[in-house]
Amino acid sequence: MAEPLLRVDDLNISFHGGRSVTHAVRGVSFDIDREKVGIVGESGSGKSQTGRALLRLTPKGARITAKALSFDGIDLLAASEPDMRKIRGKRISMILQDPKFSLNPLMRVGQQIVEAYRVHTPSSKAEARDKAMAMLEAVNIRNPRRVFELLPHEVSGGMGQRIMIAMMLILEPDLIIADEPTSALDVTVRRQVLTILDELVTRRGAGLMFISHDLNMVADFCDRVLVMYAGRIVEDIPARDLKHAEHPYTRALLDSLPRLDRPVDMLTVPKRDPAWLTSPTIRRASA
Amino acid sequence: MMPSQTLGKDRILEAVGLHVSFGTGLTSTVAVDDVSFTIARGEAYGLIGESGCGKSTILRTIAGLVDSYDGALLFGNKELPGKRDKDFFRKVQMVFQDPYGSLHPRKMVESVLAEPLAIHKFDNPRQRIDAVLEAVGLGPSFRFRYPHELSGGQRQRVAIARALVIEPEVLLLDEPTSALDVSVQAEILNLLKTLRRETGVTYFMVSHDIAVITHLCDRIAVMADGRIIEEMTAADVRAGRAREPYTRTFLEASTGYVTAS
Repeated sequence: MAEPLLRVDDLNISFHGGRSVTHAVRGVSFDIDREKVGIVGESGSGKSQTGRALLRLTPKGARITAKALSFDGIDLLAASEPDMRKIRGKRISMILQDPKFSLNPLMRVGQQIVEAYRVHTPSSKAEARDKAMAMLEAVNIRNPRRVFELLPHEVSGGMGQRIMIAMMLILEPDLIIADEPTSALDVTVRRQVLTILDELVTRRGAGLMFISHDLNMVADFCDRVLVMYAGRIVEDIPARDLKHAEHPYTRALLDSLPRLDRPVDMLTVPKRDPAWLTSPTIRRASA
Repeated sequence: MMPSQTLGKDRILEAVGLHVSFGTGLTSTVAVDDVSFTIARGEAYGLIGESGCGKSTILRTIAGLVDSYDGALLFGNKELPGKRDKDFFRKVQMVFQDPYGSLHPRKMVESVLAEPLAIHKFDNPRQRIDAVLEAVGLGPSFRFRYPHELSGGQRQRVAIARALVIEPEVLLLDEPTSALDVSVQAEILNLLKTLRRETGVTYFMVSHDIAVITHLCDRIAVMADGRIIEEMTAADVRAGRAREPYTRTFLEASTGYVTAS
């Protein structure tokens, strides 16, 4: 079997502060090929840290160990900082959770997209500007010319997130790590954004790591779903089988969502079982 | 569940031709455009729409956080004064979206809850605080905690307790679960449902999540571009009975990634 685009084997991330040690990620293993993989879990389950570790954006003071952490043959743990800079944005890009804190507040949003493009691609200002305009249009911004000149505080949360996505997709990376890219968006816009992501992933044959807490959306959008709980992957399941998930935690998460097609009086609140901390990952191969 | 009482006599909150705009001249933006609705006492009324459609502005206008508006807002059949009086805030309270931002970081839960009681001159603050903490499922041991010692769900419970401690008649809920995990969201939604059943408080909830709003509310108004496009019952939403094309698109977009069956 060929080497997958991304291989993560036994990834551990721990934070050492004073006398206490926090294990954010504990022995996580998975592969991502040119496919859409969803990672779901609650806050604090380690899903964002897993994503950040791939770009080596983990805060100082964290200890990362892994048997393997390789992207397209590159060992991400051993790569030098200059090498990482060539990878970040160009080969692996990350769409972050909150555009409010990820965009430079003092720079016009269009200029930020142009900068992202020109850092990695030698091009004239005009060329980059055209490309940025096209990208803004691609993320369904109605008046790109006007939005280009806006400052981040002048755009709504939803628009900010679309600008972030435009900035991250403009270089057409091989692997996109999307950390809750649509949780701030409206349903109708969300669908458009997902369509854009879907298009890029399929057309370019890129891989997508889609971090989210929305199980149903992930089930519909992704090919495969990894369910994380307390720093571990408890279940690895093809997306279309999600509703037949075996792990009690996955089941509990599914049941805790209000649904239009199944009215209930009271929602089920997941009850946690300490055994989930040590039980092996349930893996189901795609058919 | 209570049936909708649109035509019932006992209206608690009513908007007639509400119009809110921000800015002047060329930069003026109309946020709310000729919006009218009636909420009956004890009802749970939901307002749904995309960001920027004006739903939060309506909530903020009712709460008195928007200074100038045209049209009328009626509370208990009386028009609200431009500057809300103390009695209004005794009866109408708001729960904000982000429990991380809406609690004072240097105030203990006890003083957060004691302040509204002192302002409105309630007796027995101690017993009331204990009772409300019990009601939101936290318990009296949480009195001496600071917000940073609480999880997101616990903070939102404190925010709900703060609103409920003075026994209001209407609770304005501005996306009360959108900053929370699904498991915590389930807890808070259950809590809100139970509290309404026990106290008969009226809910006016704003959300962009159709499943959440349908779970909690009896009647739902769909907003777009500052207008209420359509009012539906929860049963209509579940059955997908929408008259307006916009509502239909909205429902489809919402359920497109929800129904995996």
